[in-house]
Amino acid sequence: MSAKIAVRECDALACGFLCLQACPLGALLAVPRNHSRGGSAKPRGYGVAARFEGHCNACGLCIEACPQKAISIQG
Amino acid sequence: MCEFCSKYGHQNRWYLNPDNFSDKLLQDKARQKVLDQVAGWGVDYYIERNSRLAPLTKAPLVGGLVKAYVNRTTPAQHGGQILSLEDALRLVDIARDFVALPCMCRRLVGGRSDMTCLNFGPIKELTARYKPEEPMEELPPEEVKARLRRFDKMGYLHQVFYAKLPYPVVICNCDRKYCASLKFRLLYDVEKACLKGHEVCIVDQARCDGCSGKPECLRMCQFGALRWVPTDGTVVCEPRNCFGCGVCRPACPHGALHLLPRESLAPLRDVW
Repeated sequence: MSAKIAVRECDALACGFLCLQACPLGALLAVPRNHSRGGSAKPRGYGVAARFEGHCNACGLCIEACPQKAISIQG
Repeated sequence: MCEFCSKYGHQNRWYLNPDNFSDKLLQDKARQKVLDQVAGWGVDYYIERNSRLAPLTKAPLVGGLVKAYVNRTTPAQHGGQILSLEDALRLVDIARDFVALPCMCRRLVGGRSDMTCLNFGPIKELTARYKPEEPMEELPPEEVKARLRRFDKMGYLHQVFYAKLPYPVVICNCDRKYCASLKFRLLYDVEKACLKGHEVCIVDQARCDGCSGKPECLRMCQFGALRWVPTDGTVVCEPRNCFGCGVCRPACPHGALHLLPRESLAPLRDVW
């Protein structure tokens, strides 16, 4: 069973996606905010979500990388 | 035979059939919508939505139904198939207006921004319209081929994506860590997100000498299909794991790795 990564609402554009770059397995995904039903307009902001948790081995590098302390791992 | 080819191939592979590159296909409203989404920022939403819904394919009881639904609907949207370098080079001769763009999956999963997405057809105009600030390189066919060969040596596997089947729009060059469609395939078994290629790798046991215990080919395989056999001191290919990308071949100094057509191997004929 994979670990559960909890990501608080954060402004990923502000820090430059540090957690994504830290993750060695690509378990995190940058997700656009303000869903405009798949339109081609530019999203207004980005958050981060643990969408590929099956790849996560709970190494904790993303927790260290996050300047906003928005990530925690349970289990 | 590959399901896509039996429908859209006309005795050829679907991505090598010139009919499928016709501008007439652009009149389809649904296809226009997919193209707008893929060329614009909509692809971020597409990956976001799919990754949010993908875990439902593992839900108890209904998971199988969800997976069947996704596999049914993906061909009308955006998905891909692995292809070998040879097929990619043949495709370059058919398509028009090649441009290199930074890989979007890599941007969303946190990778370096590399110009590895080799787009063709209407994508050039659409990107200029929706993402004017995006770095875009226009490439002549010879340069596209040179880059494909370079990517192949670097171990990037090639994948052709469609915008509503059977209209190919891009050859992606990527790896397992970053590619969104491969993640859907490997984590959630959604076959239609990324079909396996038309070939399978076979190791010629007469030629493989195991490179004195340091086989380079193992390093290239993204799928764990090549395996070291300590007893024999050689490498074998686990054909069920092989996606047929062929990027292992340049790493072999003895020419022991070959691609065989999937159709010629009875147990793998229907494994896509």
